[in-house]
Amino acid sequence: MLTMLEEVVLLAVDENSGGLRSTRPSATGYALVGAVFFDLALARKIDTDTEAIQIIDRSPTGSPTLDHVLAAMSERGEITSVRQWIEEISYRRVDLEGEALASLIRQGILRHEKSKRLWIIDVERFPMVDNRPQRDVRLRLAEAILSDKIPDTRDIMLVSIAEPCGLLGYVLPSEQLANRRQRIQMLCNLETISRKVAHSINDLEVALHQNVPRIM
Amino acid sequence: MGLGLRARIVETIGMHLEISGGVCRHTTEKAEANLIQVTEETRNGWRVVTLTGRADSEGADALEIALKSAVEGNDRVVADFKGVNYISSAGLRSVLQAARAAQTRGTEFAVCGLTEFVRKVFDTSGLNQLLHIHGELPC
Repeated sequence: MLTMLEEVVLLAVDENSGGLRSTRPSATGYALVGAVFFDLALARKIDTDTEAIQIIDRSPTGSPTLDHVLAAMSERGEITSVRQWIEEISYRRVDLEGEALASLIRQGILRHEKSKRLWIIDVERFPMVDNRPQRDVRLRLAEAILSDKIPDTRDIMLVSIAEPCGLLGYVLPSEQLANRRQRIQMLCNLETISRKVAHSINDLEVALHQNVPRIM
Repeated sequence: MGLGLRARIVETIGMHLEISGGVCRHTTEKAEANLIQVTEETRNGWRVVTLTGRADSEGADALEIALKSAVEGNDRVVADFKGVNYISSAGLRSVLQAARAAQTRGTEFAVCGLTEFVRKVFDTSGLNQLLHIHGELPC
């Protein structure tokens, strides 16, 4: 089974070109940290309430990416809030996307291609070797959004990470997403981790907006 | 689910299942005061699952198994939270997945007796939009 991080990064791969896509690149860093926290929660390594995050088991998961983040969290016991940890891991610039892509290549789902554009610029692509896992992720997302039934825990988490990454537009047409906006917001609000990811992204975007010089 | 299978599942997560006088009681081996404890009884057509302690990561599996098991064997189930003083995200997921199982089977599922802290968590997460919440037992 893929991790939440791998599923959301896989969703970002264009199945035709192998390029990586996101409509909100500035938000993706925080959202990917959220995906790792969901993986740690599913592995029963951490738990959260409305504000705080607790490490409940420091033993390794076997995933280098998750264990790296878990070890970092174990070293800084003074940080207890979900929000602070999302920002702390994001600032450390752990290459979560790169680690997830490497794992997907090892699992035979993607392959790595490097080429040059204009003889100078390196271009990396990740064409699909097996497109079934991505189709499964898209199908689960579509069902979670379009249905009125309570989704599985993993699908709730997936919606709430794919949404801030701006990836839902690759799953459903914009009209359908607009019609289901209330449902998407409800699913994103269910988990503390995704609520805090949304708050961090919102603050980041406000700060970016304030720092852009206005031309009158 | 047959009782034998149910008991075996419970054994795999280190819990005991006792049944006496129509009341079913689950306790974990580490029967500490802060772990979730579950008792069940039938009242006026409702299966009442009474919860006591902390609904956190440590008790989340026990909580989910107990609620899903009740949902699978009954047409009306209410989870009474009046003895629950803390619920974490793991505990919330367990309740939500039990509600999902109820929806799939067509079982009427409700929660009641939320303490102030638990109600705040349900409200913050919007779980109150997905669950039937009563102040007191509906039976």
